[in-house]
Amino acid sequence: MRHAFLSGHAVGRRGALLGALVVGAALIGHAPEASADAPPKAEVMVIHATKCDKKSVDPRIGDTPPALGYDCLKLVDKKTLPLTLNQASTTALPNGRTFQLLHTAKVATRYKVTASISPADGSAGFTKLADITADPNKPFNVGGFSYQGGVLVLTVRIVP
Amino acid sequence: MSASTLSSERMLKLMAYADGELEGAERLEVEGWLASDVDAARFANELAGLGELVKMGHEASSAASAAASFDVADAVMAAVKEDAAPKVAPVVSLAERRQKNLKVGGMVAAALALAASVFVMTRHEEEAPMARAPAPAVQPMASAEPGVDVDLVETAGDSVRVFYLSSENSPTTSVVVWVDESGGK
Repeated sequence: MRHAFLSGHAVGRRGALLGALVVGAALIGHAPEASADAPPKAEVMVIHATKCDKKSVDPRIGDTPPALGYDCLKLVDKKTLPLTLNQASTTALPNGRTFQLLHTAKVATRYKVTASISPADGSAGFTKLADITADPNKPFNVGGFSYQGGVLVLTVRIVP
Repeated sequence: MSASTLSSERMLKLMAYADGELEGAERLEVEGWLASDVDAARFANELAGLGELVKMGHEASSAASAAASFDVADAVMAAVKEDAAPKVAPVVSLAERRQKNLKVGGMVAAALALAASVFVMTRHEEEAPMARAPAPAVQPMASAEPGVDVDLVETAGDSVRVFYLSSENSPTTSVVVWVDESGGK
């Protein structure tokens, strides 16, 4: 009786261990496949920020980005940039300039990108602004580009 | 001295006697003078006293010269002997020496680490206000973890700054890379 109980107990533990291994292998094998198939993308909100007497925020913006003293925020455009590794992705801005994101690396779950802007005088090339390492879905803002009495603020969110 | 009553010849012989230079008949003759002639005996005594003084002076001079020669020669010889003598280094345990070196190395490393940490902390405190240069009507906030790290590119110039700001309707900190284009397009 005691032997049978021990034997059954051992089989139960062995089965649970085997099941855990199978589930773990499935999860491990599944994760890289998903990230490999779907490259991350950057969702960019182009916001026109101006100084005004009465504060107003476009409801389409959602979480209000800090605009450094510009109280009136209006969503101008919303774009999605693919972030293929080491390939620059660009979008045209209302002020005639071009914003560029370059995905340079992925460190654990974080994405490293380089943000650049084309020159204000319309000449060719880009001026690198900053290397940004961001958690997925964590927004950051790049702004200050002059536009119609105010500035453009780009709220960027990298989506896996 | 009563030498004036003595003849010069007798004085010379008495002096030679005092110096022990006379022998034989001359010595007996002088000893006869000493026994019979008071002046000769007194002169001989004076010569003997003078001889003692000369002797004492000579001995003192010898001692002084010996001391002088000791001061120089002995000192030189002692120094030569010390240099020539083989010097034996004290035997030290290798384990103790290594332990001592480890302790010293550890203390030096600790001191360097402390200095480095102080340097980094003070440097961070100095740089923080520059990186978060104030903008109108905005208070920087650094306490919350933004989830975003920004390294400014040097080529961007002084017009680009990074702000860590609190959003109005969000408890977390927002990161803003701000390009100051005052007067630009």
